[in-house]
Amino acid sequence: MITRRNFLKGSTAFFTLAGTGITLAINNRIKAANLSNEKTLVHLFFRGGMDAINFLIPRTGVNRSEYESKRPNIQVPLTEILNLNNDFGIPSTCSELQLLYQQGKMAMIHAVGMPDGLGSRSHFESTAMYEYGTPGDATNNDGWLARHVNSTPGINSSAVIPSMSPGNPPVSQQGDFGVLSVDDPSNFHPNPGRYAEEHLATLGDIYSGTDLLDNAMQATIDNINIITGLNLDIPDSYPNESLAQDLGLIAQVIKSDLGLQVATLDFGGWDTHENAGNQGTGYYVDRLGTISRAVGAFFDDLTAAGKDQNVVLTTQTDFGRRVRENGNNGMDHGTAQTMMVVGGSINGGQVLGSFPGIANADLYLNTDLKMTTDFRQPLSDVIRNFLGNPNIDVVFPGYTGSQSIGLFPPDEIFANGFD
Amino acid sequence: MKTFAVHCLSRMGFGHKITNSSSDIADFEALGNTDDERLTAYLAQQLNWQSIDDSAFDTMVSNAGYQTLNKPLVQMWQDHHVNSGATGFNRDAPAEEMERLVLARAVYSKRQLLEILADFWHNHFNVYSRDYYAQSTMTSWDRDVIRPPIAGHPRPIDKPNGHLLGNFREMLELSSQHVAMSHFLDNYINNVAGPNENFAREVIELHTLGAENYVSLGDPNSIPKTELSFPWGNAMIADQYVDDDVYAAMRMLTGWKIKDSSTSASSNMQDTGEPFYFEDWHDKFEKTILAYHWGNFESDPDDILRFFDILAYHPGTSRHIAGKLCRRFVSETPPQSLIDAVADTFYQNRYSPDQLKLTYETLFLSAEFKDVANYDSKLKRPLELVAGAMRACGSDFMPKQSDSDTNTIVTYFMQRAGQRPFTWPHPDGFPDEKERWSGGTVLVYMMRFYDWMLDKNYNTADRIVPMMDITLNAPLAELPTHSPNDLTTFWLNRIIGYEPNGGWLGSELHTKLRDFMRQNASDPQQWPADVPFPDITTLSSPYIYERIRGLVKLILTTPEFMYR
Repeated sequence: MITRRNFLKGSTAFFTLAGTGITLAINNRIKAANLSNEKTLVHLFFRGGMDAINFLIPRTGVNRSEYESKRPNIQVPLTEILNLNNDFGIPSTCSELQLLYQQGKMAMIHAVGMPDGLGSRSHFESTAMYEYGTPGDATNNDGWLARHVNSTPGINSSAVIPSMSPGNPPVSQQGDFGVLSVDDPSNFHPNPGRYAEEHLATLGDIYSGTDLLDNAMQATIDNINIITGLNLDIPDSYPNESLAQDLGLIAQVIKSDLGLQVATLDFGGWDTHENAGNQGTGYYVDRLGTISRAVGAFFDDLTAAGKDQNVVLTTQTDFGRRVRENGNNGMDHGTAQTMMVVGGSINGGQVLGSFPGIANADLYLNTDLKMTTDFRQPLSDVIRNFLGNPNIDVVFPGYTGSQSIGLFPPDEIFANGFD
Repeated sequence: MKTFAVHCLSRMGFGHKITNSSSDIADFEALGNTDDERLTAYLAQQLNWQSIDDSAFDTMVSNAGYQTLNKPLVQMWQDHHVNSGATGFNRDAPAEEMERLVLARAVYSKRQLLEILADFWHNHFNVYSRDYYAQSTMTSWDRDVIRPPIAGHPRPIDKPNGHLLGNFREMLELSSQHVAMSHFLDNYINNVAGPNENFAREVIELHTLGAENYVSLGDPNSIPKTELSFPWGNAMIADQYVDDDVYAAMRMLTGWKIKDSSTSASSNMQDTGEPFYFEDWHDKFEKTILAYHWGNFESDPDDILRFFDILAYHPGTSRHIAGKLCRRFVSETPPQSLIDAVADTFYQNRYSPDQLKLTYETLFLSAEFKDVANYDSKLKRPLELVAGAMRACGSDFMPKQSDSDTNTIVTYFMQRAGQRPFTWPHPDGFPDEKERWSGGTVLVYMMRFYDWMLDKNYNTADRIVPMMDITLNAPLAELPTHSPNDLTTFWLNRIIGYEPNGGWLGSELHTKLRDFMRQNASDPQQWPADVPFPDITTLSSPYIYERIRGLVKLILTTPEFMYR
């Protein structure tokens, strides 16, 4: 975060200016930095373990008949499915996602997971390995997104907010002290009163070292200075739901041209051991509808601002769930998951990866959807071919299979891969 | 230099408490002639919690209008679950009272070790308090599972020591069968016709053996076994567990449910919220868990007792619990030798009625707990910051239900900072690593809380911390004059609780804060550091009152206060 601090400290009188002066100075510097073409990755983590096949649902053939027989109560009937391609569809609560798919802005990937033998059905172990980006090792201590931010040559040297997380930053950003973690920018100040600037100046004085709290406080002071005075009001077009509001805040930061590289969001409520739904209605598909409305509003907003080409949204969850429903109209912990990738510049409108089948003989350990795509493959595709960071070996240590999965057109790969 | 007393009070409780007439740092110092003597005496006093006179706090609680603290579980269930609405009792009143009571206890109870241990065990056996059944029973969960029994609420006769100072095996069984846990992790619907593995997985992974003893997707036949002794004899038990053990545990736990409306419909049982073994739902066929085998129809329903024995008396569980205690109370990276020593006490005393008390003695009397190198190696979480700030600043505000100031603390500041009590939605409890609590959101919302709590509204009696009264009435020896130098020293002593070598005056931190005090928002002229302000209460220019609020808040935001 050296670059950003240099940016802020560029004005020697930084801490002694009156409040409005600081805002003006920062805004002028943001304009001068020309950050309007920076690219942003938004990574959405579904806490709790989101089921794969009630999201990307088999529509035809043996997959459909196996699906209906293994999920007699919680299956989504064909009448409640919006088609993506001939063989798969998504629940009818996800009309915004279907539209993005039809516009070529969304792709879905079958059966994403960790290599055989390295995964886990434990929430905590599996989540840790996904967030650290180290299959088989849940004890690493910095996150893959932090390693990306710290290794990428792609960050504009003037980036003001290279990373953010509404709320508390997740493990994937552990080790990245520049994260703007704020959920309500209008209240993001320790004292908006008469001694506002003096407070920040004294805090900056006290926290001038290099300890964890020094880094955290310095980054916080920077963030307070940056967002004070920016207009980050979330437009009314976003539903008044937490996920949509959080994505709305991220969109406003993107639209403010602050050089945002990485934003993360958590959206929980997926540990559906019971009452997940009934014949295409109920909890699970309603929860998916919340995602659909939020992502739809997010990309509408970005498209209207001409920013949708510069943003990619990826998703991840603890693990997929068991193929057979359990005794309580729910699903227990399983293995492979479905991944969404959304963005104006992606090769959307396709379902990538291969579906392993859900007949008994096809199941992993007789119970789970089998992993066919290593989660690091699509993420590497985004990191290298969209964000322009070739250092995949730093982001995912020991990973060697990082061929493109086809998320980006070849001309874009060329443009980003060789500059 | 941080003193041993301040270190101990910040680890064995929610930090020191100082008012104009009392100081628990001084009380600690008076307990002996050496650090070891004082710690030994303090630990003995705190573990013997009933000997501590907490009647002043008890009176505060009874005046605060809490409704559910003494309701037996069955009554609580009737009022707040079965008949809520009809009786005028809110469904979530027990959850709401619990999240406020926990703050009140942290700030005002003299049984500080009991409170910080309760916090540890509530996180170990984490229950999300807004879960459907838990919200109506949270005060029972706290009273009947976590804390030592109180008059009028004895433990079941076969589990007299199931609580945080007693025996882990008994506590585990109480936890597993309480309505709050049973619903939160779905065991209340786990049945032979439709099994649900949620609780089975977490009782092994989180409550007992821990993920460090999990061989994901492993072959049970390849796991080494060790001969272990149990009250009923020796058995060869697997050292670690695999998924097959989870599936068998799920079957073992079928039928262990709650007397609720589903039972009253199906078997003429009453809807009481009590634990209930429903034979029709139990899977009675053979099972193998951790290499121990149960035959078909073997001692049903007592098969579950040996299941809990094997989990609670397993050496892996000793190491898992010991590791968590060491990371919580000593250091995020405790030496293996300390974990082994604590685990050994836990294991050797596994049948003892005061197993956990003995375990804490090994932990707190260890060389590592006393080691200066481990001072300040932990970061306070929002509950510890809020309670610690109220204690150090001499708050006299009592948190209670249906109170707008308490709502502001709990549902606004603590919620935004990420630690509203009992709202961690996952079964693993609030994280405890420094990195998770050093984000800007935590820092800013804590500073905003301090700003608000310090004479929230000076012109009325409506205050969380009567900062100005404390300053005006401070003993002369502590605050000789109202100069920037003296005011800064006074509040540093109160909040940090110790002085650096050579005293505060002239230290870097004192100078920075003192210089903050010398600034005037409307006048570039700085006030001389040694000259008393004429009237510190004035709300208008030169805004001394507002500067003191800023000073106190800044001290609460120093690393010296935020680390523990």
